[in-house]
Amino acid sequence: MKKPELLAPAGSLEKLKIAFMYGADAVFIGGRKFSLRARASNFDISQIKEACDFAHNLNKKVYVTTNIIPHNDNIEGLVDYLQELEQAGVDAIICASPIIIDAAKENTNLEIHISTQMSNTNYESVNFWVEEGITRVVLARELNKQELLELRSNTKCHMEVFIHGGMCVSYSGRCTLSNNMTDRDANRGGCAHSCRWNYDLFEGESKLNDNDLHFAMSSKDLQTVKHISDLIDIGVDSLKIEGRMKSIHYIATVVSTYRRLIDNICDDYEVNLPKYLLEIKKAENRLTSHGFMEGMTTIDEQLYNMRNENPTQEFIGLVHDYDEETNIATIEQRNYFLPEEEVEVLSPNFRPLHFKVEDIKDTDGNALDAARHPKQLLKIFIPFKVSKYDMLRKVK
Amino acid sequence: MKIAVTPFSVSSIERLAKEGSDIFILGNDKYANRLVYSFSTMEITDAKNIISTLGKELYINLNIMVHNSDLIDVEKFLNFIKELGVDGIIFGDLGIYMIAKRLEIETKLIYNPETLNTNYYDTHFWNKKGIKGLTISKEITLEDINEICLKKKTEISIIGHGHLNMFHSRRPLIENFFKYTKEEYEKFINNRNLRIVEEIRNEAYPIFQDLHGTHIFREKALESYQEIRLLRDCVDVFIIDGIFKDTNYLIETVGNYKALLHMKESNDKAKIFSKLYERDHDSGFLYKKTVYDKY
Repeated sequence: MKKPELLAPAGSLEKLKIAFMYGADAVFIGGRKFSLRARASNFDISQIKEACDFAHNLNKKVYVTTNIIPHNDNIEGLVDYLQELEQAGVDAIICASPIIIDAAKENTNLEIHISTQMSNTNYESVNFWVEEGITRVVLARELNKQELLELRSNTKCHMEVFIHGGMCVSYSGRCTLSNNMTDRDANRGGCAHSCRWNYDLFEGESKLNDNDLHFAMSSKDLQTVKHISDLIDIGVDSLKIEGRMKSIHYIATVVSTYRRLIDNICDDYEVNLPKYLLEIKKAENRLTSHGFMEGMTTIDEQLYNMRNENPTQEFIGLVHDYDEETNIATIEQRNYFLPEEEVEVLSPNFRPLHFKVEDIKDTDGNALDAARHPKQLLKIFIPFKVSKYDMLRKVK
Repeated sequence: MKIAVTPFSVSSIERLAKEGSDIFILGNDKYANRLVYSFSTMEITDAKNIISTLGKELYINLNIMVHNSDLIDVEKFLNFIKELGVDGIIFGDLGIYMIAKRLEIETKLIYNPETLNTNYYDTHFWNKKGIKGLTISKEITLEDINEICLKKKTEISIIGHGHLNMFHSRRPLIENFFKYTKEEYEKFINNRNLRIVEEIRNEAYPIFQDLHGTHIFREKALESYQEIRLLRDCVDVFIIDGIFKDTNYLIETVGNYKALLHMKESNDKAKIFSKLYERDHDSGFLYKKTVYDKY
């Protein structure tokens, strides 16, 4: 059984390192130019080089998104930028426009992946890109498992499939709601997510929804724990997690869950799905569903009548280091917590170890009655060894 | 520049031709999105005969997002089109290019993926693929249209008049909403009298669900009366899409544009037409540059 690549998002060098430590085989990052997700903290060339060096030392890969749909005046500097990416050691670029694809082919040896922004939904369109010398297509999120199986049987192209994260409600790349409603270009990094707003629905002059229930189009986020085994059986080459703007806790939790799930399936261990479902829930701040995996979406895949962002408060600290003689850990505070709280450790080793917080001290040794300040360095006793990049979260 | 229209019936073609339409865009709703009318293959054949007799051109709209299960029927339909002999085939999915190439009719293809033809190089790329033309994306300014046309290597078309769509989801969003509220939904499928209004915006966007998913349109239709003479110098095909309107509307607008094109000096008349239409028409993105990366 071929083990697929686990591909994670990284909005910063810290997130990239977390993604790799927690089990990603490759990450995708945005550069400062030609990339969607304008608000993600995108990388400059020196940071991209640092990211590639870090990844390659671990025998892992870095892909850079160059997936805007450029207008005439966005093209300046394209060839220089692509050559800089090649020199930085980037393993592939993710593209959605012929001008970027051909510029890369003509001026670099960069591997090119076709972005989901091109909404490739059938094997004929995927084979169009094979004829163009492309080795991988990020498939449309509208495909179900049967369609993926048919694709596998009818193309030699490497198939990359989204397994987790936010979903466009529209076919990707074909939506200008944001352009029309906010002047922000969805295909050039400015999507305002207008599809997630609340609307009233009218037939003629008659309002069809009640005042307390808006017409909503918003989609639940994708979560495919139950489908990973089938995707591996189908022969999907890369399983992609969405979310370059998500937190390190989200990335660590989601990546480590899928990492272990994929390994267990491919190594033929017994798979305890409830355990994985419970674990991945700890990262969620939006409701999730399987998207199109089982066929056409139903009401179970949509969000109705709710403001759906519920930031998780479980992640309380990131371990910076640990003194094995005193059992004192230095941690960076991420959410409010108190002495006596029950805490578990999330680590790349996936040890489900728990402890109770005793004293909380600042770095000068002053005792604190609570950990209040984000990013403050704190000292706490942990009765077992923890490591840098381990994460602490409350047990609910 | 040729003027293309989307007729509502076979019987309206002759009148629309008389008003000045050069190209007729027809489609069947199994293979096309957002049509004004779904023509059967028999009606398409009848239309072809009339259009040929009139010395005009027939384009077939084949702009569905193709899924694997559609491929066999799409190929059959392309074979029908090939046999019929048409002047253009509008597509938005690369799978259709692959099938058309096998059938050796790629020279009839016009690529219109709605949002992806945004710079001059797109015409160079598709010229190398041997297709007939491209339709420029809807959110492009007049300045950018002009620059694309100056460097074009294929036929260039724009949708210059009519309601522009801004969203297409595969999801049955209308049906799902009424299933959620436990209300009857059937009467709202293919219902073109639906609008959505966002909670802080006073704009009503047409929305409908059909067998290809859910579509949302801009509130106001686009008009280009004051730009038509500029566009004449660079654009090859100016499309008037009659969706949400009727045959009389098409006849009137074709006549208006033709009148402007025939006048020696049309500025005053163009302003009068714009004024007449301003209640539910605007200039779309012709003068409105969308924000790139800075907000």
